Amino acid sequence: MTNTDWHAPPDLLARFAHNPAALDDMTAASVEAHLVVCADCRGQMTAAASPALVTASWDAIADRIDQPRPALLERVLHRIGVGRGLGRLLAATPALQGAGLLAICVLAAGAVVLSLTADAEGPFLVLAPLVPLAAVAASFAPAADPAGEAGVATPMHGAGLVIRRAIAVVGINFGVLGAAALALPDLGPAAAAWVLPALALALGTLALGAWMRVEVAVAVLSSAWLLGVSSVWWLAGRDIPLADSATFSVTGQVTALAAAVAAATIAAARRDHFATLEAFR
Amino acid sequence: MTSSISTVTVTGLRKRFGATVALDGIDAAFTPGVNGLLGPNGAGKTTMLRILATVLPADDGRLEVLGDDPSTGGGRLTVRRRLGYLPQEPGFHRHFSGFEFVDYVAILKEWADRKPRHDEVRRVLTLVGLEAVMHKRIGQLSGGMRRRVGIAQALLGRPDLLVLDEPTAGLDPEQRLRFRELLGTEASGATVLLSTHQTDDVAALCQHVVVLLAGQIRFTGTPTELAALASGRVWLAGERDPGADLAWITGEGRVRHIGEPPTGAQLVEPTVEDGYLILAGRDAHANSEALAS
Repeated sequence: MTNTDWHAPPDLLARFAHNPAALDDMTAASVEAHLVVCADCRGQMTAAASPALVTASWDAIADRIDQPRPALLERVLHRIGVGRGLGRLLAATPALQGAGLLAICVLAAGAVVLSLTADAEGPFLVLAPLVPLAAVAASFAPAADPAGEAGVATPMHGAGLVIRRAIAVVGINFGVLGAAALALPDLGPAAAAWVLPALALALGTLALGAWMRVEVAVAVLSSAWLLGVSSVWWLAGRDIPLADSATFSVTGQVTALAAAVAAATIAAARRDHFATLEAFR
Repeated sequence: MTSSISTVTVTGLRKRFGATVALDGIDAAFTPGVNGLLGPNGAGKTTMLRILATVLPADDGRLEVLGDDPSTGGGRLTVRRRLGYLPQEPGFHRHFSGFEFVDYVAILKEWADRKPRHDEVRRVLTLVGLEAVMHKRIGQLSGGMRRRVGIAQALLGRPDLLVLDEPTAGLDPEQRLRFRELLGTEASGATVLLSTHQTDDVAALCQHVVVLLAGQIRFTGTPTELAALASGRVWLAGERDPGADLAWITGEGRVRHIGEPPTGAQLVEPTVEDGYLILAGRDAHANSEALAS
């Protein structure tokens, strides 16, 4: 930078230092432009400013620099009204980060491809409920929280956070699976028959996770689901399409809803379990 | 024990992991100031600190932490609002920077407003000497720096209770000295519970020390009282006595014996380590030598 022959009057510099907004726009812009090229005036202005003002200015600059860049999901959550803090906590859930979201999309696409290959909704209806099951499990698995054990000892940790994360995970999973279902051969009401079983299995993970390792809970529930669907279809004579079996009928949907309510009730009753490290076994 | 009112008391505390008894009916009381937990690996120190830090439930026994019972939902929440906790293995998210990690913990500690939260995050990171590297990813930091990130998050909000599991592990001598100074200023008035394998940390830092062995308390008192357990039983000799149970070569090339006096040995003043070794015996000595190497 170079110095100039003209210098701003000291009282003008002092007024600019203490409150630039008190000057008219033209004068403030002129002083600012001059300060860029005049080291003497910058020095005078610094001397005129109170140390508290200089410290506050540096603090404000440091705060702006230090502000972590929000992740894409965090920005989306903020757009839809989720607070910045909660958005950060939700966006840090492994099942909602890049690799987790990619896994959900790949699994959903795989289920659609199987259905298109078979020219029937059956494979999608059977596999789709397993996707949120795995994602919910991953949201409170041992490595789920970026703060690890230190995070467990904080007031925000506990059932409230687990449930919020589960809602976010289920919501995004349902969005992806719903979009994937649009590619199914028949877009009738039966194409949505995966929703309630998926909800029941996701809530079942939370409920069973209060008694056993989350990986075991996933294995138990996914095995039970696959065994149950196969058995119902087998007992019906195997000559009907899978999508027409009782599992995806009104009776099956009511059963899934009842299971979801029961699982939610159990998870709520055992909510204290999620407050400690025991839930992270 | 000082005459101050206890801020943390445990009565009949028990915890099992399968067939292993980690804590076997612990009774203890801790007052404001620095309280040290000494013991070999597997003695139950980490389990006890986890229970006091509300991250692990006890199987049996009564706890009172800062006037609340952490086994109830409301009591646990109240304690957590006044607690800073450094786990033995914090489990850092390696893609976070030090700033992002501490900021994340601050959100979990209910610091909702961004500006004061960031000011506090910068303050604690500066306290532990990480201001120049706070925006580096944790995965790129050295083990000692990561430990300091862990200490920084525990200091958020000047907690009334600081539970620190081996805070000086991985710190170099200068950092350990800085940590001691830090506790002196930052934790003034707070109750600090820390576990360590470093008996010199206990001597330098703690007003009260508890020795845990196999899930039971074997000593409680001041570091001076712990050292006094070895009074009249610590000797320096030119050579190792073949019959000695506990003997090792010092930095000066002489052999320090604990127990019966070897022939021609010189009686010396005991240290906290000598007192601890009298209690813990050969296992603790082997353990401390393994850690030192």
